[in-house]
Amino acid sequence: MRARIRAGDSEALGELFDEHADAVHRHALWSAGDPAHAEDVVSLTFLEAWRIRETLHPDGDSLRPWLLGIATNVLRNRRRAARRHREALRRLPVRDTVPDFADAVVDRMYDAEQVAAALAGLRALRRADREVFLLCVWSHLDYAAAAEALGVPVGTVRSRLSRARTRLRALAEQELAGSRMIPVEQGEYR
Amino acid sequence: MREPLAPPVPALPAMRRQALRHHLLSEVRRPSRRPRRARVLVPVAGVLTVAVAAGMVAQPWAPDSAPLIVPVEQGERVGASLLLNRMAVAATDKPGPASDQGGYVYIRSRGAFAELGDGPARLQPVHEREMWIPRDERGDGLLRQPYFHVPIVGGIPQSETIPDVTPNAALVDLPADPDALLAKLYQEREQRGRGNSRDGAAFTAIGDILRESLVPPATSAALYRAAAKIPGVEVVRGVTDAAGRRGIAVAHTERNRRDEWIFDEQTFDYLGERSYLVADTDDGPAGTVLGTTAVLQRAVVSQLGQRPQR
Repeated sequence: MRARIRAGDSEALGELFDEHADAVHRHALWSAGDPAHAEDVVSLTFLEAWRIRETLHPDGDSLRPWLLGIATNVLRNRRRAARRHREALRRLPVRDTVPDFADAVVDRMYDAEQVAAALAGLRALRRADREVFLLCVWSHLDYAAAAEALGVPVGTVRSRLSRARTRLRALAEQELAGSRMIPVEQGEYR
Repeated sequence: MREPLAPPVPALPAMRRQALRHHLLSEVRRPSRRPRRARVLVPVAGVLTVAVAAGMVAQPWAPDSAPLIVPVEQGERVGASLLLNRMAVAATDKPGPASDQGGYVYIRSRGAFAELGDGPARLQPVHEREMWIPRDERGDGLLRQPYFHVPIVGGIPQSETIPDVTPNAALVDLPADPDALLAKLYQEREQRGRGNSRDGAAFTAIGDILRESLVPPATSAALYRAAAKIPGVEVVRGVTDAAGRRGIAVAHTERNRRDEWIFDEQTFDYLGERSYLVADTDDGPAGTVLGTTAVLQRAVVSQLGQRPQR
């Protein structure tokens, strides 16, 4: 698969989309919340993947870490990605405003409040920590895969995840103590 | 404590997923992969006529076809302002657009643009374009045209609502005095800080108004008189629009690209536009067509999407 993607085989890109679009979409929804935004992130992620396909490492297993890493970058700087693929986005088919039956079923299963509650705690994390938490805990990447996705050493993934968990625990205790959550500054750091 | 579990989120609907997949593959299979530098207007059917006459390929837009090339004629600088002033006089003698009731201006045109940035410029297929512009108040407009880069399948729209469109009335209310009009266009260009020169920007701005609007004769006359004052404007003869109609063109050249507005030589009715390279560049040799259009109908209608009688 890696060789085919690197060689510019668009059939392979289609297969990649079939296999991972849902994972990228979930990741985008967790990070961004807004469904229309999340769909754009899906498109931008795969367009970006294609653009940088030659930089893909020829050896390795699943391409999910690579794609989730690209999605993370798109989410960090969506405007830059959107600018780069402006023409393609212009041609993106508009969303159907009438949900089909399957959507209605999904909507019943989807508890917006539950999602909001789960995300609220994450918002209080620093971005770099939140990214690691999402990739490792919610998207089930192992440390090595998350490190590949984010382009950082495995040790960094470990320490960020540990910090994220400590912070989440502290927040939960604060909440129990009835105090207000204070989000930390959202800057990026290593 | 329990750390937050991944919440269930709605899946990408199957139809939508399919549409996104289709879009992705269409995009990566497009012949030009680099982003386009610019979209340029050019007339097509006329160009086609020329191409066929010159023994060139009949379908210049086929993906692997040769780029479309037209002869680059010498422009006449001397006659340009005379022609434009004659056109202004002729325009004022014409009856104004019928004072139809309705909230939208409808313009039907055909044409094609070239994509720049990846070797020689190639035209898209010639296609029809319909535009609805709010008449008096800023608001939604509507654009209907085919999308070629995406094979037409279910769910791919052929029309799109354009929000926040400047109303046609804003053009009707342009200054009637050519100096004031030109000053206003120069000033707007300063504010936008566009890439081309102030004269090129003013020429483009007037061309945009001429193409998709419905203005009374007095406004047309003011636009022609203002254009006559733009340095470097030329006359080019024997030019064909995207509907194959021959006419006389008012042209402006900048950065090796000539933009022409084409008019009927007798009535001075506006026909369309054409743009092409006048020198060899990365986008192709001199004569490479970058765009072609022909305006076919202008009318007033009462609703977005409503068509007048042809």
